[in-house]
Amino acid sequence: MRRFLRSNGLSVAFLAIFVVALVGQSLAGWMYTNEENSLHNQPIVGYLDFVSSSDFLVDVAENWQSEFLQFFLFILATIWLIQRGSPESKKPGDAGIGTDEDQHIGDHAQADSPRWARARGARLWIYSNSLLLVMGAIFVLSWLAQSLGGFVVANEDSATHGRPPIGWGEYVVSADFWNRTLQNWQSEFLAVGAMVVLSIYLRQRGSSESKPVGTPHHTSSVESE
Amino acid sequence: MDRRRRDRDGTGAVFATWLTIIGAGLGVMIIIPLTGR
Repeated sequence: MRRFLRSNGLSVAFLAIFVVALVGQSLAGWMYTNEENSLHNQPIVGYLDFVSSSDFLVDVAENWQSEFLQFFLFILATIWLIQRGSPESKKPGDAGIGTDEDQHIGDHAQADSPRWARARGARLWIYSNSLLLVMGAIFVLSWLAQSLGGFVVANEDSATHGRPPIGWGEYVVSADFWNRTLQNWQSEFLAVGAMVVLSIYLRQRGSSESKPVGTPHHTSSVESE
Repeated sequence: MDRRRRDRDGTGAVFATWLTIIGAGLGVMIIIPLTGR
C-alpha cells in the first residue's frame, strides 16, 4: 500500500478531493433547492431524488465540459503556439508535431516504447493523438450531458411558470444554455493563460509545474524534476 | 507476461479507475435527463 501511494499519491489525492467536493456540492445544492422550494410553497425533495435529477446533474456536467475543453485546447495549442519563458510551453523554434526521432516512433521506437508507439498506420495515428481524442470525447459528451440536463430543467421551469415547453434544438441556442457554457469557459481560459504567464516569472520550489527557482525567466519548457 | 504483474506500480489500475469513474459519470449525466427526470 505504501509503495502504491508513493507512486500514485497525486492521482489518489485528487480523486479523494473530487469525491469530497462532489458530495459537498450535492449537499449544498440539495439544501439550496429545498430552501427555494419552501419559498415557493413547493414540496421538499429527498436527497436521493435530488442527486438523481437533472437539476443536480446539469450543474456537474456544465463544469465537467469546460474543464475538459480547457485541457483539450491547451494540449492542442501547445503543439504549435509558444510562450517564451513559460515551463508550460515548448522552446521557441520547437513548434509542431516533432520528428519521428524526437517522438521515438517508427524506426526510432525503443524496445520499451508503448506497443502502439511501435506500430504503424492507423494504430500509430490513434495512439499519437490519443490524449486529444479522449479529452475531446469527454468534452463533447459532457457538453451533451449539460445540454440534456439543462433542457429538462428549463422545461420544468417553463411548466412552473405556465410557459410552453421548448425542444432540445431550441434549448441549445438559448440564453440559459450559453450563459451556463460561457460562464465556465471564461474562467477556464483565464486560469490556463494565467498559469502559462505567471510561471514565467514566479516559482514554486519542488513543483513539477514550476521552473527550478534559479532558472532564468527567458528559459522555456523546463520544469522541476 | 500477465498484465497485473507488469503493473507493479499500480498506474494501470489508477488509469482504469479514473476512466471508469469519468465514463460512469458521463453515462449517468446523459441517461438520466433522457428519462425526463
